[in-house]
Amino acid sequence: MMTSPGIWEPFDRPKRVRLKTKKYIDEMWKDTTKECEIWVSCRDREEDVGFDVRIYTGDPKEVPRLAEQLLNLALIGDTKVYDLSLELHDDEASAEEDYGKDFSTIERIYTEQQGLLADRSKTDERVKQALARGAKDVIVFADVSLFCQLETDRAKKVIVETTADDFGRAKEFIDKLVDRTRNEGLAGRVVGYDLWRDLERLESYEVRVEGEDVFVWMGYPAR
Amino acid sequence: MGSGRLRNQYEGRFNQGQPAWSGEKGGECLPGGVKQLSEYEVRETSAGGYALSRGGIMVGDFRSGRIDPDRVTFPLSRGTWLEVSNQGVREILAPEKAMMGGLIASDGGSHFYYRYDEKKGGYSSQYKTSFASTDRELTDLFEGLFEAVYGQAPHHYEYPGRDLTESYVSSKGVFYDLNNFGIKTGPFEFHVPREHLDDAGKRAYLTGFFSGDGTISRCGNQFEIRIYSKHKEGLKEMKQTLEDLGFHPNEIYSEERKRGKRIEVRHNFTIPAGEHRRFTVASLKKSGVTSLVTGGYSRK
Repeated sequence: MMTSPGIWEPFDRPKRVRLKTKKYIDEMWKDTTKECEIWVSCRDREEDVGFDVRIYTGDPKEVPRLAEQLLNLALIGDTKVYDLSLELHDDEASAEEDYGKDFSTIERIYTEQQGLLADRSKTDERVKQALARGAKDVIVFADVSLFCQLETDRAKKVIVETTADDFGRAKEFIDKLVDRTRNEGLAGRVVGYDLWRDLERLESYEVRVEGEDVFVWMGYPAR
Repeated sequence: MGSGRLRNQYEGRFNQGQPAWSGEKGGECLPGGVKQLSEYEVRETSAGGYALSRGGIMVGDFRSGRIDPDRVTFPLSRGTWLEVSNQGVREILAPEKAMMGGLIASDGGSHFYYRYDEKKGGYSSQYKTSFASTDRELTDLFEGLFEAVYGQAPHHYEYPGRDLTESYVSSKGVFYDLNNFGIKTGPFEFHVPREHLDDAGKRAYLTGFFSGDGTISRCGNQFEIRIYSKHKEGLKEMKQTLEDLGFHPNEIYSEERKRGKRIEVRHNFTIPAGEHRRFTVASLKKSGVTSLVTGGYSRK
């Protein structure tokens, strides 16, 4: 596994990314290389959602154009691009990302997790006091990452991912991102979804009480 | 003070014409009008300006100044002021420069790089200071602030087929001036120059930074105000700056995202709900940047 030194710098334009990527791939793709993973990592500021799009391909000739298209896709709307990079793998790295659940399963998993987090938050003194004063419902906001795997003729696999502390916002944005990916000609049918968060590491940082509701914000302590 | 003859140094930094030389007694002054701040004295001069002295020795002669109860400020060059107070003397950024610094820290860049010149057959150093945004009001704001500070208009580039606009200059002087304050220390890295910001400067800096890396979003029927960065150290300084202004931001937390075996991390902190109104109203109104502040420049 080899990591690129960086095919993108802030303000680089898509064509420049394509040229830098071609130069890198021409030099670094070996006979033992099986796959290239290309990703763009961003935040949509209007929606306050973090998002990634990843493409896995086994064809070195496709990599420069795919990198350019990923940047084109990211630069729609009010987006801050944090990273655009690639990694060459000597194995089938794409096999580690397999998202085949239907969305109703994801919603059920999310609801169960929310219940667990709400129960855990009741050990927080602020929440205890609010419940003692008559509050009834505990509503938790904590980052959740949604993944959507897409079929593609252009590569082996396309993954779009969104992260937000509101499930509805993450879902709405992933739908938009899927449309953008299709419009860019990068992907087609949805294969499936998945969800991720590290429940053990989440801890409360803010509690608000409004009427009968207690709102609890949870986050990951800074690494 | 930098290189060059002492007279040039004074003219360059104080922008006041004929300098007052260290070691000389002050010129003729009007009676009264003396302000004592720590070991410094400020007097009005017969020319209508101000003389700054220390222990009876003249150290500065200024055409204009602003007298406040607990400090005096004199404009220097490039959006910098000299502040004299009971805590001593320091250079501070005018609100225009502070806000510009915040914009650059979030969505801008200031760096140098080497470029191969085929005609000369060698490398030359290039400098670039820039700001880019999809919000045209923000780029207009940046350009106005830049011109107010440096007296020159940046170049303007509109990305074809996109909303994105970039304003930039290629100037060694601008690069080193901003570098002296640590405004941008690397891609996605920044330093909040708290030691060079008074309260108005801090508010202006925060306003600039929030325009790029701050969000106001909705969770259900609740609102959140959040400030993001990849750079944890810079975010800590941002948090301290808010604390200087009397806010109590929540702790810094990470947004963690799983990619295969890797966890990617970005950082953020939120403003508690009880301070939302104060944050959005007070910090925007009192940043001290008047006609250059356009309505709606904050993101939400």
